[in-house]
Amino acid sequence: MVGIVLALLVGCSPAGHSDQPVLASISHCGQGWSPSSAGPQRLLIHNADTRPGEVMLTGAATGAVFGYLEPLAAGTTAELTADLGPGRYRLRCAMEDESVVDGPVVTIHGPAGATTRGVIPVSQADLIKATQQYQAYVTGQLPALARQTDTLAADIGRGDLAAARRDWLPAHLSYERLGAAYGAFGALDTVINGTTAGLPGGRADTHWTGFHRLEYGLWHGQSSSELVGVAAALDRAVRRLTPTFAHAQIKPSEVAIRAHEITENAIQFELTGRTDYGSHSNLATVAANLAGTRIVLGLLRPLLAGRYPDLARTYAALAAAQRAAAGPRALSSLTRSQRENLNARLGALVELLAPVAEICEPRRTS
Amino acid sequence: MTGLDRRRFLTGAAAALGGAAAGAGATRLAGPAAASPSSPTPPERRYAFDGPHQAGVLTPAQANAAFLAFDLTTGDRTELQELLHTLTVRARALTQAAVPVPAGISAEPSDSLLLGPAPVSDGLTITVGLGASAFDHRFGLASARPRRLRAMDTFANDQLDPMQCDGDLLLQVGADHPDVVLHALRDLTRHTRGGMQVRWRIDGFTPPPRPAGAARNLLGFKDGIANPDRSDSALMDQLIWVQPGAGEPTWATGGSYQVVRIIRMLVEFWDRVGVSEQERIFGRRKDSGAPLSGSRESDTPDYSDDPIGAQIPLDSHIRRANPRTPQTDASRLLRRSFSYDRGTDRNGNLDMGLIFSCFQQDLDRQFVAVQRRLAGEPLSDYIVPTGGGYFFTLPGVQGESDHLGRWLFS
Repeated sequence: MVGIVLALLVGCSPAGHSDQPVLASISHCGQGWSPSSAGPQRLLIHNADTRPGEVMLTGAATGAVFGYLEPLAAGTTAELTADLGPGRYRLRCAMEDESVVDGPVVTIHGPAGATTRGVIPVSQADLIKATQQYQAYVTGQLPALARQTDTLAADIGRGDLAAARRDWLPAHLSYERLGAAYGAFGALDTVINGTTAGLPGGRADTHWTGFHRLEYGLWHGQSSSELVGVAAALDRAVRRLTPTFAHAQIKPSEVAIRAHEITENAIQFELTGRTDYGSHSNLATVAANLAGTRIVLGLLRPLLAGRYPDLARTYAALAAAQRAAAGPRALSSLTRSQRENLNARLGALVELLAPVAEICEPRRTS
Repeated sequence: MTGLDRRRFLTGAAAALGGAAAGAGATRLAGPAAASPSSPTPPERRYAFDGPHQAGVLTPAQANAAFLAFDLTTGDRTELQELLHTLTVRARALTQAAVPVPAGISAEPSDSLLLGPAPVSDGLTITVGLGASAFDHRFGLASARPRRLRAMDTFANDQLDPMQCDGDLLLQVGADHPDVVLHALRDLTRHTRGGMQVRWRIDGFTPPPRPAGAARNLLGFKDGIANPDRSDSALMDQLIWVQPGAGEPTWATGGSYQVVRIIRMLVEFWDRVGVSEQERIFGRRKDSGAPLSGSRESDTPDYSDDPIGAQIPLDSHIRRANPRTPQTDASRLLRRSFSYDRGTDRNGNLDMGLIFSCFQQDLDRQFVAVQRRLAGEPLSDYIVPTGGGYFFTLPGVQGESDHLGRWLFS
C-alpha cells in the first residue's frame, strides 16, 4: 500500500520539485532532499534501511532540531514538516543500534520570517542530572511526611478526632507537593492517595485506603475505632516510601512530562472537586501541586533556558496561578469571577507548560 | 472489489491527500486542497473573513452551530486588545482553511488535526460580539458602549437561569459539519485560555428542509420564512447594520445588535395539542408552512381584510411578531436561529428547543418592540426562555493589519 500511495503522490507533485522521497538510512541519509526556498517544507521521509530509527531535520552548524520523526520503521514513509528560514540544514538519521549519520548539507535561500524554531537537543546525561536532583529532593521530604502521618495516626489512636481533622491537611499537602513522584511510588500511591474511582463498592468499599479514605471518615462522623486501622495503614505505607523510592528507576523523561502533568491532574482532579471527600481542601491541594510544579520546573530550568522562548512567560503564569489558588478557601466559596479567574490562570499555565516535555525529550546526537 | 471500483477508490484517496502531500520531497506547501472533479466529497463552501461586516450574520445558517458566551479574565485594556487580535488571527486562519504551521519541537502541536492534514473551510463562520459587561470599569470602555447594549431584559414568560445569561463576549461558530465546529472551538479556546473563560454554551443545528422550503423547528413548524431579503444591501443597511450618525459610537458603524435567547420548547405538552389549535397559535399550516390566509409557504400573510382575525387569529405568533403595517416595518429583524437538543430534565422530559438568534440595527426599535407585541401570545404556554443575552456584533475586519474591535481602542 505504501508503494501505491507514493506513486500517487508523485503524480501530484508540482513541476520543478524533486519527485523522490527523501531517504533515511545509514548509507543514504538525506538523499533526495534538494535545495528549495524558505518557508513551510514538507519532506516525505522513506526509511530505506533494514532498521527502525529516528530522523531529525537539523541546523547544519548548530545541530538544532527543527523537525522530528520517531519511530520510523524500516520500509515505511512518513511526513516531516517544518517552516524553515534561510540557512544550511541537513537530515540526521539515528538508526537503531547504529551511530548517528548526518546527511549532506542542504542550503535554503529566501526571506527570513519562518516560524519553526530550532532546539538544541537535550541529552540523556542532561536529564539524568535533573532526575537525580529531583530524587534527592523527594527523598529529603519523606521523613517530614512520615512524621506528619505519625501524628495523624496518634491523634486517632487516642480518639482526638478534632486534632486529626487539623493534622490531616498538612500531611496530605506534603504528599501532594511531591507531585512528580507518583509514577515512581508505583502501587503505594494508590494505597496512600487513592480515590473511590474504580472501586465497585464506592465509598463503602473495603479496599479504599489512605488520605482520602481517612478524609471521608473524619468529615462524615466516623468514630476513631473505625478509623484507627486506616490511619495506621496510611502511616505504614508512607514509611515504605523511602525504601521503595530509593530503589525506584525514574525514567529521565518522566520529570519533564510531570512538569505539565501535575497541573493537568490539578485541573482534572482538584478543580472539578472530584477528590473532595469532605475536607473541602481542593484549592489548598491545587496550591501544593503548583508548588511541586515550581520545584520540577526549577530543576529543568537550566535545560529550558535558551531552548524555550516562553520560559519567562511560563514563570509569570505560574506565579499568577499560585496567586489565584492562594488562601485556605473552599472551592465552593469562590465567586463566579474568582472561579473563572482561577480556571483561566491554570488553563493559561498548562498551555505554557505543555512544550516542556517535548523540548526535554532526550534525542540522540551520537 | 472490481478493477473499476479500485481505481475510483485510489483516485479518491489521491485527491484527499492532495493538499497534504503536494509533491514528494521538499516543496513549498501548497494551498488547501481544492475539491477536484473526481473528489468523493462535494465542493466545500468558504466565506470571506475580511470585509465591512463579519460573516455569520447575513450568511445562511449552517447545519451546525455553537454559541459560547465567555467572561473576560484579561487583566487590562491592552490584554483585551491582544485577545481580540488573537481571536482575529485564529478566526481568519480557521475560516480560510489555512494550512497549520509546523510547530517544531519547542511548541505544542499547532493543530489538533481533528480535520486531518488538509484543512477544510466547510462553510465555517466565526462571529464575535461583546456584551454590556465588557464595557464596565475593567477596560476603560464605558464611554464606548453601544447605547442600546445592556444585560438581557427579563420578559413576562422568562424563567432565566443567571448561569446561562449574558457574558462579556459571544462566539458564534457555524459550519456544515459538527466536527468543523468543534475543531474551531478547540483552537479558539486553546489560544485564549488565560484571557476568557466559558460562561455558558449551547450547541444547535439546522435540520434539512422537510420536504422543502424553510427548516422546521422542534414544534414541527417551518421557521424563518418571513426574514427580510439578505441580498438587498440597502434593506440590510436600514434594518441590520449600525449606520454612522445614528447616535451610536463611531467605532460601532458596520456592527449589529445580536440577541440570543435559549427557548426551551415543552414538546411533550405540545404533542398533546391538536394540530388545528397549533396552527391557530402560529398562524400557519403545519404541513405546508402556508399562512392560514394562503396556501403556499411563500404566500404573504394578508391582514388587511381580516381585522378581527377570522383567518389568522390576532394573537397568533406570526401576526403579533410582524403585523405587516407601515408602522411596524422598521421593527423587522433578521432571524438566524438553530434548534437545540440537550438531554432530559429531572421529570424525564426532553430538554430541547430553539436557540433564537437575531440581528438588528437597534435593539429597542426591533427585538424589544417585537417581544413586547408577543407578550401573552398563546404560544408562550408551550415555551420557556431560560437563558441568552444581548451582544454587539463587532464591525468587520479589513485586512491583516486590522483586528476585531480595533477602533474600539482608538
